[in-house]
Amino acid sequence: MKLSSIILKIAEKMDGQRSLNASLHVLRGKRSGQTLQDVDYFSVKPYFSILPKLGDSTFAEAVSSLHHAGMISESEGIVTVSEKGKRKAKELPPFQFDGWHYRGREEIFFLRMVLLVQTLSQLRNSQNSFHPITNDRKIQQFVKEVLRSLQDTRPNSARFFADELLLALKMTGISDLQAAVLCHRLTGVSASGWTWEQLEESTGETVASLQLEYLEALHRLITVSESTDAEERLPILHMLVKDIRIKTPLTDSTAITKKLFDQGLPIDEIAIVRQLKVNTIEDHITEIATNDRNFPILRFVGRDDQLAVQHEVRRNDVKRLRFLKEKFPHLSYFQLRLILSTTKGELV
Amino acid sequence: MDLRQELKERFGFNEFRPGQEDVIRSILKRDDTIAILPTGMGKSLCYQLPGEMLDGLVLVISPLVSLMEDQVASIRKRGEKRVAAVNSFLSTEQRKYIFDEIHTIKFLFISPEMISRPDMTNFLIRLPISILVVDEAHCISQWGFDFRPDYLRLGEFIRLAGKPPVLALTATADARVEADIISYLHMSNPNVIRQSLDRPNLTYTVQPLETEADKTTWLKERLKTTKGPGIIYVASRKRAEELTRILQQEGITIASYHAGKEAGDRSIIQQQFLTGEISWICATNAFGMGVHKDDIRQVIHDQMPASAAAYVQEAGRGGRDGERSAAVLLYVTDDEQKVRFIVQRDLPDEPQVRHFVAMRASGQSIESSAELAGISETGSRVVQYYLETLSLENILKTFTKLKYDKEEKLRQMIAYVHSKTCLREQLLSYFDETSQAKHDFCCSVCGTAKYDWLLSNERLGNRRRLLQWEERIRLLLC
Ligand SMILES: [Zn+2]
Repeated sequence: MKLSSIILKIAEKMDGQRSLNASLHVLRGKRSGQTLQDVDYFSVKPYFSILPKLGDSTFAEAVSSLHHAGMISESEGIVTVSEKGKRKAKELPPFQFDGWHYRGREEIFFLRMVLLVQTLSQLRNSQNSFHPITNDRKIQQFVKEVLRSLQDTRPNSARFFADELLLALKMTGISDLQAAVLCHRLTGVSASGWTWEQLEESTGETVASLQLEYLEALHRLITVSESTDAEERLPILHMLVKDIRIKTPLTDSTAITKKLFDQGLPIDEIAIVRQLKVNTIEDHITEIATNDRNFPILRFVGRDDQLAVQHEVRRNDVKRLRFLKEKFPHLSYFQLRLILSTTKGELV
Repeated sequence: MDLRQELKERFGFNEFRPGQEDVIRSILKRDDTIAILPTGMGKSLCYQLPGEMLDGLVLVISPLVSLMEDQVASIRKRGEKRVAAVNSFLSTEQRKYIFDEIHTIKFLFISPEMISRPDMTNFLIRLPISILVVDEAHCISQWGFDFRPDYLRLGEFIRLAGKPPVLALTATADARVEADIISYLHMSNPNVIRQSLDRPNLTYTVQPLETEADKTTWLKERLKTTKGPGIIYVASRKRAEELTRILQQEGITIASYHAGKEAGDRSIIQQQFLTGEISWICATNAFGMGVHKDDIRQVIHDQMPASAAAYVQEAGRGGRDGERSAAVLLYVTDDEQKVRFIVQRDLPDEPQVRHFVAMRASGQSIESSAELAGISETGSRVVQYYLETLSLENILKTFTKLKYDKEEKLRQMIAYVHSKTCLREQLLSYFDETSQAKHDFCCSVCGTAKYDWLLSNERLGNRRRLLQWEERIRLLLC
């Protein structure tokens, strides 16, 4: 996964209205009024704060590769995406970050998981005394609580968690590479985690690219583990994601869209009234759908299509949009996203 | 008092290591105590055992967060749960929790910058402190190789706390450092317990070479033909990365380790080294404190450290299991200049100090004054501390002395690499010691630094193979 692709996606949303620096601020998660307004207005919340330590030179390098490919240009502080750039942006698979809701807290979840796996692995080998992979007391206490609750209910916790992880990773729809990276960052008896360099060497992907893959995978895993049906199907992961998501109400811009939508305006009219792009409004609608159990999805997708997609998801345990798009070419990405975000609770 | 009985019951050990019992007896008498014990000789038992026996709180001042966390973890590991650490990484909420629960805590670890914060001082001086432990006490002395200005404020805390018994722990302290520890910690007539730095199971070698490139070639050959586990100490992050890459290409399982590495990678590397998945670590001096690996067979320095004390400490990480370990120092003539530059970098010169003082006087912040004067962050903290107590002229004098002293320390290392007499004796002489016995495997000057026992034609590490993710999960958990 390339940084430049992500920048292109953001630039496409801000086309003709903002500087490239605005996307840098989004990626770094700058807490200024301007950036917070931008992420909302341009619907780039998923990318907010996914790279808090992104260096100027790394960013510049990625940008210049887009320049050279003739996809973007910038003059007088305004970025313009060329036709070629727009085409390329469309071809890119939809990224599935959720930076807005996790903002670096995904690492807390991952540390919990690493320590849990290490502990289960050690216990399975009857080693009760070992060097924990993290000395963070909060993480240690959290995992201890989880283990305590497992002792009472699950006799073979390691095995149980393995099955759960296998299922969850399948449900996320992440690629095999992403799943492999995630699993190789875990540590167990005589199988320590791998460093980024070691992963780079054996996958042939750069560290930067792998870290993006890892981040997206982590966001997906958390999202899957948060859902209401996860409480049943993924009980341990569901415990591990406790308090990771930042609770935010609908953002201001989405709230305005919701008002118009509730009045019955169709998307293109909302776009005209609000002077926003159609796909921005679609992002708002998806956000509304995610947060509203009674979302009137029938306004966008017929019942048959809904059932067919849900069936496919259940049958293959796959939620990857690209995969679904191949199966249902007549449905738009927007429709597919709506179906997925409104069926979370029913996929048992 | 039968201390051995206590040791057996509380820690499950039958014997004290050399020096421990004397230190503990001194502490139990409530005497101020300085314990100079070589690295890996169980310094922490010196306060853990009396701490358990005495009423009140054991307050341990520790310079590094990692070291602190590590000690907390090892105390917990033996079943003592009444332990906590306070450092600037804690959230206000976590800190408050510790304060509310302070009566349930026996061992409290704290960083020197935290302890001198007024709110913290006020809180802590009201508590019944049974022992005040200053770990890595050499950090208090500007003659020490690891000077930390924050340590200088401990004296004030000790005075405010009503002078509880103080235990100063360190691995190395010459007479001047010892004098500084006594004076800055306001110690009264302390018992000084000094254990010999002589480690009979270490063999010392100086390996002179022509060029930097020769070092790399030498290391390649050495690592291909001898066994680990081992550490290569290098002078910079850049060198750590480069050398690691080169050695990896030779099929050696090695990882680089320095402060610039991602936190997750750092703990993974430590783990891999502990389990033997990698045989070598190529590190800056950020690696070492708090690493519990007893079977390190080689410690190789790509470049000389800034002082004999630092060298003794780093080379001393080898052979903690009592088995043989090789300490090798590579040397080319240019090294002297390079190390001199690094050593003097953090020490501001006269125009810089004057500039800094003028900026401060004109109302600039410490940070921007330091930046304008071109002083490093460490340097500015040192200047700032002295400004509170000394006149400008005296500060300049102190700095001149410091510069001179650092140069002198470096000369010890230079003398070491050129030594025509026993290297072990040479090192020990810097700490006013002599070797107690004749050693069969002594050093390259004595001609007994053979390394045939290290030779190994074991197959070098296999290339790592990425597993399918399902397979990996099963490997970990099933
Ligand atoms: Zn000798």
